[in-house]
Amino acid sequence: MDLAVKLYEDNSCKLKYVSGVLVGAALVVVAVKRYRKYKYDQKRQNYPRDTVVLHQIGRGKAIPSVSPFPIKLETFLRMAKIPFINEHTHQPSSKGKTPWITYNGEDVDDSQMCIDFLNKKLGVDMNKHLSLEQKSIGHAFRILVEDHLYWTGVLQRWVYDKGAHVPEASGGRVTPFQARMISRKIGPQAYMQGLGRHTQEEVMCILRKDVEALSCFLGQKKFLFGDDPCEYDCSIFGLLAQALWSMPGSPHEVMAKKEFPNLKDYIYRVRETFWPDWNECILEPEQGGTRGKKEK
Amino acid sequence: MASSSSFFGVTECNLLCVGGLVAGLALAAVAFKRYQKYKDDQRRQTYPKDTVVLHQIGRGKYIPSISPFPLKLETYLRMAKIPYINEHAHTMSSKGKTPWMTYNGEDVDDSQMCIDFLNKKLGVDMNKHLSLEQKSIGHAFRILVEDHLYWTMAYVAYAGDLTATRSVMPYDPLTNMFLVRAWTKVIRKQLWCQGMGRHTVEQVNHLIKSDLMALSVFLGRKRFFFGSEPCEFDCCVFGMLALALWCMPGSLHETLVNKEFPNLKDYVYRVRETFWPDWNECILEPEQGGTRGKKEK
Repeated sequence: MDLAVKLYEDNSCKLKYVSGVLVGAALVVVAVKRYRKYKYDQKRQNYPRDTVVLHQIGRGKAIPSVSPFPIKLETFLRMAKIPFINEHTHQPSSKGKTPWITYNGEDVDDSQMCIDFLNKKLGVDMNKHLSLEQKSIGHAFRILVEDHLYWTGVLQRWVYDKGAHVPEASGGRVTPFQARMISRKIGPQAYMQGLGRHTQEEVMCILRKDVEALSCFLGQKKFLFGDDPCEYDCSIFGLLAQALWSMPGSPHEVMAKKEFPNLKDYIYRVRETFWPDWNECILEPEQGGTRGKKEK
Repeated sequence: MASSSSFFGVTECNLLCVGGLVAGLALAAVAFKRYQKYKDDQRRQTYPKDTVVLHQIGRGKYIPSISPFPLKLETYLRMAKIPYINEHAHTMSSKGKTPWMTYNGEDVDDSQMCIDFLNKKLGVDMNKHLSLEQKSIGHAFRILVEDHLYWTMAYVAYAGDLTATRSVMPYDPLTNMFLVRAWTKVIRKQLWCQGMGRHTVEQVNHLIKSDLMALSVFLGRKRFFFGSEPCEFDCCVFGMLALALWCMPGSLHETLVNKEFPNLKDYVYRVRETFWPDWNECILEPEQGGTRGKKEK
């Protein structure tokens, strides 16, 4: 008590005390950061050789990821039979994106750059059966899905629904508070990108045109370019799977489930072909997931 | 002599003066805005009937517009033979975009929504000769051009050295400097939000090459995107590639279109000859800093 009174009255002593606390706190922060880096470096040394370490957010309630790009990348790894392990983490890449990979000590981010890197490194080519013209069309559809259809999904999930379904879809890994905070950031981003300047009705019209184009091009084919799957199927599947399993009640779900049955069949076909263990890749009921439950 | 009361040294008189000034400025601003609206309404009443009024920024030094979307929309109007007049202004649409249009009193923004609106209103269909599959492919390529290739061009023009961008701006040096600075700030933020701005230069170069290669391969030896007849999709591809040729000096886009993908260069010239026989009259005169009448390099 006397000390407290002395501190209160003695300004120079107070200053020393506050500086001491600040320096101590800064030292603790630096020490924690260094310790984390040390543990992280230790972990990286344990990564198996010639195996892709796929860093992605955790599994979802009814889908292996509530983001399309990890599903795209993981589908590619399965399709190309590249050995990989998952590291479920919220840590993004240096560009602030997820997913990203580590391969024999080398980090690569952006799902398409990961695929290009692995194609070059491992001599993989899941498009080798396609003609040059088919590859050009496939490229255009990949961009349609990842740079346009994707943003209609972002608007639906984060702006119109305000992230309301995300906590449940992620099995509780994203809290309602976090979902609201993310939702506030996404609106301005979508505005900057351009699609966010349209009305909801206009966005729905844009969505319909994109989905119609995909459905029309796919037609009755098993995969995008016929009987054999190719790299472009990975990105289309990654996005359309979100519509079916992580956007309940959305126009995306309605279109994929009811209005364009060939797309629904296609999604299930890709899932059966490359994700026979789908059930093990979603959360258990105890974790808020639907593993083992019959699909509606 | 009576002394005036004061509040922290500020007299009543001072407060009244400042309040009066603020109120006066506010009234002047409201009056100015109302006057502008009045002039705008007067001008709108003079718009001809059944004629599209295309609101776009001014003509460029080497190209009718330094933005691909006015070029796309104007090419479409010419292709579909829809009567139109240009209103060159920096006025944005309600969504903060340009170009936009007015048709019989109705405003529509976003170049594609303008096209869809006119198709519906006037029963136009420049894609009627295409199969459903071709239309779906055309749609995918339109998105590739407008939502991906476009961003690589914005990256090259605004994310790094601005010298080339400044050189094609059709304004006086002071306006040039002000506008480029203002646009750069906005576009860099857009690039980050959209995602393109998070890549390195090397990565963006790879994306540019992939997109242009896809366009070149698909076009092949065809006269237009889907054969010997032009279609709506040619308008947006032309708008974007024309910018690469005439508005991005020294860029990878220009080099690739000019040299590595000659079929794209031939295509751009072909669309220009077909729909812009008056191209020369649609660029600025030498007195205004343009290249009208000058031989192309």
